Amino acid sequence: MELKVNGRLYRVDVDPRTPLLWVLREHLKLTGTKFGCLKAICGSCTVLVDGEPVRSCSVQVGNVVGKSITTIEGIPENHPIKRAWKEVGVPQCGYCQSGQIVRAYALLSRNPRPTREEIVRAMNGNLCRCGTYPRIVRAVMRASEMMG
Amino acid sequence: MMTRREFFKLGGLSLLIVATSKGFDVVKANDLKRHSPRLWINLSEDNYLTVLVNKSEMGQGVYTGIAQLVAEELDFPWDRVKVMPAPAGKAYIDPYMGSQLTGGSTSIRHMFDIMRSAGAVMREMLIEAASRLWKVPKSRLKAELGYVIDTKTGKKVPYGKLAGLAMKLPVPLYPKLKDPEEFRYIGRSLPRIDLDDKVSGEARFGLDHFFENQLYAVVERPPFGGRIVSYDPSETRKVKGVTHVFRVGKGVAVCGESPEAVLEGRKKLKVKYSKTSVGSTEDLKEHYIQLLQKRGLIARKDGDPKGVYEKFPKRIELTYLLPYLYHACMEPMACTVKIDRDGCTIYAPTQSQTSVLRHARRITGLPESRIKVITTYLGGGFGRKSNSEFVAEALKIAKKTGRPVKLFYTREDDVQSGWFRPMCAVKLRGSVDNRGNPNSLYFKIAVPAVFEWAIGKERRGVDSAAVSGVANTFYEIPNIHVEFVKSKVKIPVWFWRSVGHTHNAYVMETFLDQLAHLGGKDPVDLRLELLGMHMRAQGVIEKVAEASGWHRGPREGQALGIAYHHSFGTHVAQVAEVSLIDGRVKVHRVVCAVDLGPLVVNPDLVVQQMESGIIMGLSAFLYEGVRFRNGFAVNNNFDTYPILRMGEVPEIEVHIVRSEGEMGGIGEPGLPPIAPAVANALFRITGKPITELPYYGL
Repeated sequence: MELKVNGRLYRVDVDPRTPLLWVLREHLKLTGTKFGCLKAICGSCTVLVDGEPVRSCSVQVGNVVGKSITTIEGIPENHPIKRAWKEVGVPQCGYCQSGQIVRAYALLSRNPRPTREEIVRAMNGNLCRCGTYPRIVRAVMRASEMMG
Repeated sequence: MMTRREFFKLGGLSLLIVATSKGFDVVKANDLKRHSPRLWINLSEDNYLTVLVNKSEMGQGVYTGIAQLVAEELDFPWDRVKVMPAPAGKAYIDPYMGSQLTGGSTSIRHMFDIMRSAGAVMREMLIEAASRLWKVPKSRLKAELGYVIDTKTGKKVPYGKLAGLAMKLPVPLYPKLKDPEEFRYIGRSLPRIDLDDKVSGEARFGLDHFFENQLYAVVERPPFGGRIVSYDPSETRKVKGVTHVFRVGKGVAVCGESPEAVLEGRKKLKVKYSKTSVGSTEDLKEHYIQLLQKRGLIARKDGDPKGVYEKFPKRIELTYLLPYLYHACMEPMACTVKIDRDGCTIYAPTQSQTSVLRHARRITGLPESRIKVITTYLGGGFGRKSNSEFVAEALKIAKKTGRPVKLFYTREDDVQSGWFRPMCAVKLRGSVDNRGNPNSLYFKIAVPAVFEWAIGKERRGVDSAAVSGVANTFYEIPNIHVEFVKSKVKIPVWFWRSVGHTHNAYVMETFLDQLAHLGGKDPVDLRLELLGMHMRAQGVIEKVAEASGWHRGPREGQALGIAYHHSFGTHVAQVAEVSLIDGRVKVHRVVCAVDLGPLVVNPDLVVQQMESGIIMGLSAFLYEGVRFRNGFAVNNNFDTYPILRMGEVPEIEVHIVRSEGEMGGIGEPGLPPIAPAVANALFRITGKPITELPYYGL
């Protein structure tokens, strides 16, 4: 089947029921997307499918053929969300950060001026064990400012 | 380990640090006639500094802190500094630990002088080289931000251009370190050196490397205290892509060509387990409570705690019960290994390179020189990843299958692998005199011996983790009894961020508020009185009281709670603003004061670690505890083992208090005070002490 990831077309030969997570990571070697719980609870594997944030561990690859997939690698380095993330100094261990950034990117795409409550509501499904939460809120607000 | 050839390809000036009986020496790479040079820092001819860090980056910012020390003394531009994980090997041990290990909040404390000296040596050699090149006295030269400058003529040369010449010079024996007022970087919140990797998605963790022809593997585990009696692999083998099913360690490995194949195959494995001595949560509770009846080992006895307790009518007795805690690293255990004719290569998110090497030597039979360990970034460590059992399993699987292996634990496997913060029951008794001053304290804990599990064999004596922060408490109470009863429950326990301090700070600090209540004392005032000799402890308590507005009292509908604890050389006090609405705890704000001594390498990293400890500690207080049934952990994913989410995170305010005295650590000490601070606030609301955790029930 053919997959469109970060604007590029890839041919993959897998069972269509395979979780998108494994296809991205282990077949396409886009390892920025992380494996965390395989139950769509932690958010480490968050990617965008046609702009919507989804848990790639719980999406079958067959269901996203023909759709546009965006991973952490597909968000430009100079995008305000990534710049704000660095300016605020969010990451600690870094493992959940791809999922956090992708989720925040989706939020800002839909709502460029979120309130604190809207940020928390949108981001509440993404777990972080290091406790970078307060800085995530700050970084999303900063990115929102940068986007003007 | 880097080979001699790889090493010389780097060119430039390379310095090594060698542990000696007196401490350490800085030497030049070419001074060592050994086959495997021990590179620590390299200055390239195009003026880049590479620092090999012998400590694991698990979020605490150690790559940044260590690089900052070298760049400081070398006086080098921060944007030209790179770090690499040091290989595993004797050359990279922490001389104060005698092993290559990241733990105990020690990295900066142990490496502070060493890495600074290496930078200072390099700087002096570059000045010497410029002095010879230009034939001018050294006194005229200064080294600044990557250039040696002739202060008379203004002529300057990049360090890198001098590297070749410097490599031919002798190493100065007594490099002069900067005075603190000369610091350019130490004390500044430089941005983390791993930011780009972690924001781009490029950061590589345990599962992010690929070998040709690699297999994937998962391991089915027995119940704690039990074993797998038999297994039927026939249905598993029928799954497309599954290649091998066999026993490894206590479990059964399922290997195959893709992660989805091994997961599907494992579902179809039919396994028979033996009976186990580890039963249910209720059995465990009873076990620990019963154990308190047994006579233990005395860790400390001052005065006559029993006599005083019985004599004074204002007294209280409480029994605490605290659960097993799971580390819940966002990255479950995972590593990628290869064994072939040339040797063995291991990509592992490990806190203990020494133990990885030990497993690798034993399993592969190879000498250390042919075992290459690449420490990846760790997706959280919290102590868990100093246990290298997962690497041993991967190596055994690679050896048996003859193929490179990516071993990964699912979340459920990660929980069932154990190595938890131990459960414990603690009995406390205390009394206050007629003026309300605590005059006796009795502390008896029933808990497994963490250090016994860590070294893998039985030990006599008091387990130091079991009584940490109590046997050595700074509180001046004249009559104290501290006793340890060892539990032998067969649930593996291990170091969990701040180790024994997690349970002991909770018990001590909440009990102290009970004594304050009994004696009619303010909790802040009582602490200050009991810490009469300890200025640093008083300093953080005073700071946190002032910054939180303690003496003004709480806002309407809220309560304030304070806790103080000293661990890993660092003093931390926290005040929590808490309310309780319809049975739900809301922590509005936490004010934290931390004293880690006179020098703080990177203040923002300290703030990060305080935020991190507070959030993890609050998570454990409210929600966490592993439940068991027939020896299996039953709440084994985030749906049943919830950790704190963003919506419940309080506003956090951190104050760094400077003091004279020894430097403390930072990765762990922020965690212990938060749970008792919140519990003490809740006590003020409900009037009931909280003696069983988690708050929302196990």
